Amino acid sequence: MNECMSKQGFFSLRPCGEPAATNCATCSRPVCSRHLSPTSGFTQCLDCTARGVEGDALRQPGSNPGVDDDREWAYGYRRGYYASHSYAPFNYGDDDSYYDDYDMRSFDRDLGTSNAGITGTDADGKPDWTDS
Amino acid sequence: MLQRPPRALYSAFDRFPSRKGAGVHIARFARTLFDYTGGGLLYALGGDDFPAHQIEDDVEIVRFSSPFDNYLERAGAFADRLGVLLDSAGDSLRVAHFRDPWSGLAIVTHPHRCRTIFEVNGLPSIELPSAYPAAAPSTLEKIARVEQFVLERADAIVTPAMTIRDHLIGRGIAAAKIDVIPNGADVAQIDGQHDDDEAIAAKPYILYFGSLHPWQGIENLIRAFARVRDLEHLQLVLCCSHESRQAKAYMRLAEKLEVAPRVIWRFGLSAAQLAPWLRNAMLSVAPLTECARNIVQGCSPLKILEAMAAGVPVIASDLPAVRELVTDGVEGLLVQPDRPAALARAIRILFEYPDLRASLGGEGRRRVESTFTWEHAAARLRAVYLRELQ
Repeated sequence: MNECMSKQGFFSLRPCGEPAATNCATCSRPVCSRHLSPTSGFTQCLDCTARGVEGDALRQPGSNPGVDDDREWAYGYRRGYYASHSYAPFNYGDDDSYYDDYDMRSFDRDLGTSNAGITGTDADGKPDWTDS
Repeated sequence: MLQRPPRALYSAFDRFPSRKGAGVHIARFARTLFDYTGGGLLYALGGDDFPAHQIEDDVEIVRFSSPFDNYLERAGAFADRLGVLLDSAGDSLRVAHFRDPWSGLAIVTHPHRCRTIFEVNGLPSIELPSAYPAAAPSTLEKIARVEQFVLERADAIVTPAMTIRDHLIGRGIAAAKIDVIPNGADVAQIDGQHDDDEAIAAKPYILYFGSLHPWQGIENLIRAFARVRDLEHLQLVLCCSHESRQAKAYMRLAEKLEVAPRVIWRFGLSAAQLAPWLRNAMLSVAPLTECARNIVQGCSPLKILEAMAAGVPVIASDLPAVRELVTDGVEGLLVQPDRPAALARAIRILFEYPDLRASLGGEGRRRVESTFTWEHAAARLRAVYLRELQ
């Protein structure tokens, strides 16, 4: 019997290890009944469902599905989201976001000390936020 | 997507769980919030190695998982995703506790208003330049305006240091809505015995543990260690959150100063793995630099509190934020920042005077027990929730 490969735990993550009920239809990993997503009709693990929902969320209002560039649809979504909530504390223009290309460029990974363990980056260079 | 309507949200633009100080802080404060409210939603950063969705008893955890290499893009998309989660949370949400302005922006602009608590440990407009030196002042000003917008609209602000509180007041934030809740440490967690203790304690060593951010002052520490190389058998142990390009630069510095054989590096230790290194250290150092992050903004270094909790004497930079935790000559020695010679002198004094080490270590532990345990921090945080949710 395969064991569920989902992770669990609050303070630290560990494998679930329960007997698997099935395999996730998306990632094919063995998954137990507790880690199957009810919103997927119990065909996907919670993890895959959440990643799918996140992808959909980021393509919602204001997105431009014709543009392949991740950056474009992310900008587009944000503009649409804030506009739909009448949120305009800053200078959001019609054709641009609050941050322009000049602002964005300096936060590209290759311009940061991305592996230096400095604020804004984590162990593998993925950006996050602050240390204590 | 949420499986149950959350009464509380804790949002952090940080990976969780993690071995960084921020990870410890999130675990403690999020748990306190969810214990108070009977559960809720934890939203944090994730990635390939983290589940994007978890149900852990009374806590639902959602992690932002999309890969964005650009920091600002990632921060913006993280906030967008939070906006959608807030939509699905609906009217159930009574309190949102967040620790970054990106979360805050989504929360304070959402049509469903709940009580909002901004936990300010650091501000991106001040801390980001050390990670992204190419960031223009005009860009940082835009980020500061986002911070200001959120700071002004949050119902309450909690921060670990008076220094940070003073900085926020200087930005025009009302003092009445700011609570200072110092970080904590657990004396019990650090006690105990480990199989490795005997080997670890074989030679005396100075311990640094934490990240390799430039503001931590590792370069000064290595330069100070080179000045005390005559102290027989003394080693320098650096337990860092992760191996990095910056660590390699420091290793090269140690080689150049001809102390590399006496510098021991450890990376990615768990709390349990770090504990024997901590309790057997002759002394612990926090050589923070005199930079905007430490001086203008302020901080509350967990490494100082955890060393004190272990009864290990501390040598730290004499900065306002450090003086909130350590009294010079009582729980530790404070030295002028960015002065390797001053740091070396303090190391030499503690090496030569074991009675002083014992005295400082004992007083430090007593100070933590009386004032700076995580239970103290949780009680202070509960008082904020009680006030805000009544």
